[in-house]
Order: sequence, then C-alpha cells, then structure tokens
Amino acid sequence: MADEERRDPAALLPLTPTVFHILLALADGEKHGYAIMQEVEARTDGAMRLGPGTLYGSIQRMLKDGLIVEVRSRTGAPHGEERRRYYRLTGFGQRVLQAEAQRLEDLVHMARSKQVLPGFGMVGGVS
Amino acid sequence: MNDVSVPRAGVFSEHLYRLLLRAYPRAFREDYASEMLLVFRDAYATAARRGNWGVLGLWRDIAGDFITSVCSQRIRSWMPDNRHTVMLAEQDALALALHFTLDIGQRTDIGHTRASNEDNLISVVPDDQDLLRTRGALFVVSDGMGGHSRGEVASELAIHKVKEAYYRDRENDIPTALVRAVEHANAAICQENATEKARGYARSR
Repeated sequence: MADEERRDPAALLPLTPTVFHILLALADGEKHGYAIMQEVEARTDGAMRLGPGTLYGSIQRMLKDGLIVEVRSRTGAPHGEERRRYYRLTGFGQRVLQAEAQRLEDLVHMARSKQVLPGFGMVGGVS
Repeated sequence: MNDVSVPRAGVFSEHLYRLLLRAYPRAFREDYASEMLLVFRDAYATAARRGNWGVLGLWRDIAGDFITSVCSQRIRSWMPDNRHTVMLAEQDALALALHFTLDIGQRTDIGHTRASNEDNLISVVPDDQDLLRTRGALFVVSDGMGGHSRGEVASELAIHKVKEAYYRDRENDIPTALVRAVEHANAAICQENATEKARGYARSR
C-alpha cells in the first residue's frame, strides 16, 4: 500500500481511450467484463464497442499496472454469475483516473482559450 | 458446468468462437478464455434479440476485435514485459512496430507439378514513419490460380493492387481497410480477365 501511495500517476499518462473508459466504468463500483463493455458502449453512444479480446487484453495490463484488482467471489450475485470475475479500481487506479481527467480538462481549457471551442475567450465577444 | 443458458441458435456461434480463442497465446488463453466466452455469450444473447442483422453485426465486431487483439497478444508474448508494453492498448499495437527492427525474408518454391511458379509475395515497410505508425507494414501472399491461364499475372496484379489500395485508403479501421484492398484487387483482376478475354476473342476472329 505504501508503494502504491508513492507511485506517480503521471507516469502512466496519457492513458489510451480504452483504459480510460474502463477506469471510468469502474469508477462507481465493481463490475464484470460484460457490464464494463455495456457501460462503455452506452456512454459513448456506440462509438466505442469493446470486444472480448480488446477488453481482457486491457484488463490484463491494468491488473499488472495495479490500476484494478480482481474480485473473484461476489456475494449476492444472481444465479449464474458466481463464476464471473469482477474488477474494481485500486486507490492508485483512482488517482490515475483523476490525473487523466484533469489532463483532459486542461486540454479542453487550452482549446477554449484558443477559441477552438466556445468558452472563456468568446463569452460576450472579444473585449 | 455452465450456468448461463445458451440460445440454441447460438451453439454454432459459440463453437466457432471457442475455435477462435485457440489463436490467442496459451498464457492469455488460460487466464481469460473462459471469461471471454462468458462475455461472448452475453453479447450473443443481446445481439440475437435484434435478429439476424444483430448477429451479423456482432460477428463483424468480433472479427475486428479478434484480429487486433490476437496480433497484439502475439506481439506482447514475444516482447519483454516492460513499461512501454504494459499500457499499450490494441489500437496502439501498430505503434509498437516502431520499437522493432523488421528483418524480412521471403521464399517461394515452384513445387513438383507446375512448369512455372505462379505465386507472388510482397512486403511493404513504409519509410514514412507516420504512415508506418498509422497503417503499419503490409505483407501480402498471393497464391497462383491452380492451373488457370496466366495465374502468375493475376497473383502479381493482386499483390500490387492490395498494396496500392491499402495505403491509399484513409479508413482508420485496419481490418476494414484490408478487406477493401482485397476487394479492390479482386475487381481489378476480374477487369483484367475480361479485357484479356476480349483481346483473345478479337485475335481469334
């Protein structure tokens, strides 16, 4: 845990879109693979559809990187779901997700300041 | 025993997917094949509710996912486990090629039955680093036409047309671009064949 706290999230940035979306899907609680796929597809209006190979390839790397952990047994799971593996964010995973979200926000802020997007520089016209 | 019920129409699809899973490296398969199968069943059940088009759409997605993830896993299984490889997602697998030096060799054999070798192969590693990063290297093998006349012309035309169409296509999805390139080559060969026949007919008159 101490090692985890010392790790610098910035070392993993920028995240790939796949990793970012998986972390985001797990931000509000543990999920199994198919639930992650469904959430990513729904949140991106179908623009990002993760297949099983892509999903578990990313999960494998995220486990190695300490971003997520596997939760094998899940009490109270519906019948047929006992064998599924669930995944949840680690503390380090949360910090990496937060750092990536901040990085993206900074980029959007920069785009607004250059008037690529409507925002600060354009509100009320150019003074 | 499996707890998740499988739609009867999905038995064939599931069997096919089980076969596809064998293409992944053993270590990855041992860790994730059973989970991937569960996910496939769920995805199939959802797709089947949308009818045949839903199932076709699922297989189109699975095909793309299969190609990119198998390539990625195979590459990773050959690479030492280091910082650079750990965070690469499937769409970055081509960028990984920049870390390699590709030594390419090719060899073909006429075999015992043909008078001429009709096979052709080509390897393209773009000098343009951007092109290499986004489109990757291309390797095309074109078999002869099994004794059809001028099979060597058809196979040579095939490899060049695939190369030309693949690198010209701006489609971001690599499997789609590859399919288009092969379709383009096929159309070019059909056209060439029709032209040749017309010439032959004209000569014989």
